Amino acid sequence: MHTLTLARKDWMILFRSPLAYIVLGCFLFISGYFFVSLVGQFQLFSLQVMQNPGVENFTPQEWVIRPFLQNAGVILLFFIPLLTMRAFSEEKRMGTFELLLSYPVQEYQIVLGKLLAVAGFLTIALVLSGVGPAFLFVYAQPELLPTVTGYFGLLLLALSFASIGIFISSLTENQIVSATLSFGALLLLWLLSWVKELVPEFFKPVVEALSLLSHFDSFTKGVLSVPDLTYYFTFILAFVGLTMLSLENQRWRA
Amino acid sequence: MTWKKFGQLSGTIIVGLAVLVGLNVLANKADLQYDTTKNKRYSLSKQTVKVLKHLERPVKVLCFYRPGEAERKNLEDLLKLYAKESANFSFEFVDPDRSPFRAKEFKVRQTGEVILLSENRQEKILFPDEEKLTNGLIRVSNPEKAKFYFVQGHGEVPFSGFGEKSITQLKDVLKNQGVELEKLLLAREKKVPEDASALVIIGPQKDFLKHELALLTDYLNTGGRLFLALNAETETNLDLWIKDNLHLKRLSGLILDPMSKLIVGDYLSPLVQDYPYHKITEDFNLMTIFPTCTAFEEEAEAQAKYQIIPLGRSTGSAWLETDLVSLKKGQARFDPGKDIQGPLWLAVVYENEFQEKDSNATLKSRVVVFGDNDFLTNQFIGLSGNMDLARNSLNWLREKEDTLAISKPKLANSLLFLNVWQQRLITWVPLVVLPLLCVLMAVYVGMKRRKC
Repeated sequence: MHTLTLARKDWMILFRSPLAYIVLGCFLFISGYFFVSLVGQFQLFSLQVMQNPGVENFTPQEWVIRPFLQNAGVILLFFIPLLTMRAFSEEKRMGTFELLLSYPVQEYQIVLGKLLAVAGFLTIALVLSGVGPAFLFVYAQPELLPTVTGYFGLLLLALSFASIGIFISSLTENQIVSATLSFGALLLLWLLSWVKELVPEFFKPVVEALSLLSHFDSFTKGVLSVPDLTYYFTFILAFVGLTMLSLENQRWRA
Repeated sequence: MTWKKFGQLSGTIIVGLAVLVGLNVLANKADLQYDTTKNKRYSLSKQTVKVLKHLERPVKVLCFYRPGEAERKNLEDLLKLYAKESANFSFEFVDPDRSPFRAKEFKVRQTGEVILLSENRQEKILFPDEEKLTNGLIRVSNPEKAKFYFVQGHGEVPFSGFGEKSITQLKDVLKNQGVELEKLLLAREKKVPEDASALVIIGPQKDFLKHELALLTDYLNTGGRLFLALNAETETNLDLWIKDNLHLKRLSGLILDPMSKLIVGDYLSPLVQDYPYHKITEDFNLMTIFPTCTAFEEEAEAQAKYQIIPLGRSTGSAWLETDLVSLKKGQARFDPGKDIQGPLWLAVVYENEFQEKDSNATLKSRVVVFGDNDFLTNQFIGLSGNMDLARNSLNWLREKEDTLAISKPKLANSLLFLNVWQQRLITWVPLVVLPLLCVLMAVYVGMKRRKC
């Protein structure tokens, strides 16, 4: 109950500042740009496929929705630190952090409240970004289940981004530092899938297993896999836990 | 922070991380997944799983790809699925630039080449997909060879021809499965060669010599395997031989199918979507198309002695047009009494199991007869399920059911053509309207805050 109250408080603060709308607008514009160019490309290829019947598995699922989801994942990587930088840093700057810690609530309720508020925002962002693909369902035949699976994966990915962001925000009172560090950490976890070719054979599976985006790939294909689901759940859990420890430490010090 | 507190904190973090990492390791071991795509394109087909389950010798797959090559990721995902099914299957990616010696050892000339190794045998595949890989796996793990003889000399589709009227695509598929192919002039032979896995006769237009028919009869009576695809427009004495030996009557005339006019655009290319249960068409859900085709009828009481099953039946609205003169004028219509109403048998499977006279061994003769030969030519074999049906039939004849690789149902291509208004809607709403609304909201909220 406390968690929901805290989430609602954060949610109200988020939507009473222009930042949330600007972040949302920018995300929608950039993802919309990718969507529109993918649709344009798909139309062009449709013409070519019509003249060349040998092509197989030419569907909007593979050519528009899957790359769109992958792009949306990368775009979120840039915007989520801007949302989570406020989580604790702003409270610290405004002096409400001590007040928050003095409430009769547990640390986990505070952290989950913050995460839920961001999750609510992200859900709205993803639903709005789904307007374009929804049009595609009217004019062509993408597959519903893989699309839903892809969006579910995108939400998990975004929540993982957010959980790191919230953790880093709990460490510092400077929002810029918080955003920069979160962005750096996310970028590093993203790039891990690239460097796996360069590391020795023995470390390859470890490096691949750590990368945030390589686990997202199966969702965009429409495959629900237990290792990937476990990865995201434990990832979020780990950073929620770390944030809790960080708060506990600060409460103890205060 | 006191040392005690620090110790507690690090202890909590280490235990917590260990639990979470453990959970991930367990999940990776279980490695369960559910493919939500309609045609399960990211899972292995039943046939591949069956082959992998029966893999007795270790097979290693070496893939020569440069890092970051476009196709590499897809192949890696596919090979991971293979490795999950069998402990005898392993794979490795090799960068030909960094390991030029290994590339040289396996005579790799370009990236995208994949080598399958099992004991001392090896197979090379180029840009593999599931079908190529599975068939390569079968070849490399089963040493036995099959050989098909293509009978020539009666105006059949030429064995070594090119162009759309030839059968090079079918031949390539068979060669890929490790089957040897050779042409055979029956008239010169005293006996069908011992090493024949099956005889293939595609579209004969001239009569067979008596001697040749006798060879065919002998072959059949000693457990021979025959693949017959008749020329629908020409009748030969092979039809009589079929009647006497296979107890199947070839009907005179061509099949007209109003359904195929709607789908293929031609009355004379009957469609088959109805496959009575048989090993060849198990799990087969593709349509097949036979451009100009005749039909068969089994002789009364033959069913009791032999196993005669229609492999494919036409739709009920199709009929066998016997009046070819009006057909040529384009005036054909169903004539009750003369024409025969569908469903008609377009292809038939004949099987006969019997004891050999001398040794008492059980012999099995198998024949597949098609009322059309055009569907095997390059021009038409790519249509819908034609290739799969032909290959499955030939594989059934050589009795190697493991190679019955029915390719996964392909998703119909879905094209997108938008008119001006649709194009505007799908562009403006996600790209302009929604972001603009957000900006307006931001301005509104900002102004409201300033007023406060």
